[in-house]
Amino acid sequence: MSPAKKTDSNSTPKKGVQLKFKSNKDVPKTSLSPKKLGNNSSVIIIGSAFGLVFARTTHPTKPGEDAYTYDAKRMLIENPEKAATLNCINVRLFPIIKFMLLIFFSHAFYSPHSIFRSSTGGKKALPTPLKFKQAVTTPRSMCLN
Amino acid sequence: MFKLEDERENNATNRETLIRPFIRFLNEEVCWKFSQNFVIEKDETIGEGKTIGKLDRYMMNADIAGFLGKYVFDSEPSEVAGSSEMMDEIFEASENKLAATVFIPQYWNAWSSI
Repeated sequence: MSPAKKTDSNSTPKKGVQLKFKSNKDVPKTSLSPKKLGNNSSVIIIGSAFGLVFARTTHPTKPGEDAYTYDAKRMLIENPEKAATLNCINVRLFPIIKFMLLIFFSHAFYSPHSIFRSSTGGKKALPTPLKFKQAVTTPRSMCLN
Repeated sequence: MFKLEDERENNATNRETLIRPFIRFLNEEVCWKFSQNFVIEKDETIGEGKTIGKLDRYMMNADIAGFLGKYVFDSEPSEVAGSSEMMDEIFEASENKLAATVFIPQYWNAWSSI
């Protein structure tokens, strides 16, 4: 009987064995990991006649959307002196209440689930205001279900 | 919307110089709920070196009239609307030139309270 083969732990690995190295992505993230730099909101300049210059912003991650600038616009509207020092002559600020009304009415009239739309998809007649309705004279108790 | 001083030419350098303080204001003076950094990306002015983009390319009719009434002309709105030379300076679209005789006097003072 031949003696059992001893394996030497210090011996070089056999050919064909692929060594795996730790890659950066394997390093677990901790609170100490360096933070990603934030994306930049772009400002695009457009010149027009009579010395007019427009500045518009674009969202860093949502293509086609404006950057969030409501607070800055509000500041410029409330502080005209500051706006004047920046040569800012006007600010386009879509008031939130107008926006909410727009959403409400567009939903009310154009949504397929609109309360003013019939089941066939056609527009329902708008409800008549109460003051133009004939007074209901039948007592409620006499109404058939 | 910003306005260059009258003596300054509306070119790329002057436009950037005009907008730089605004960018500084956005980055340093406004308290954002979520921090963001604004940078000038590009100048999209058309017709650079030639006829620059006219007002009706970028503004609504009421704003054009309001801007002209507050910042550009001391004349009566009807005089401005009646000048074909000025109409060519202001508008690109012929439809707007035709309608200008109505909306320019109508919205001449629209920006007076701004």
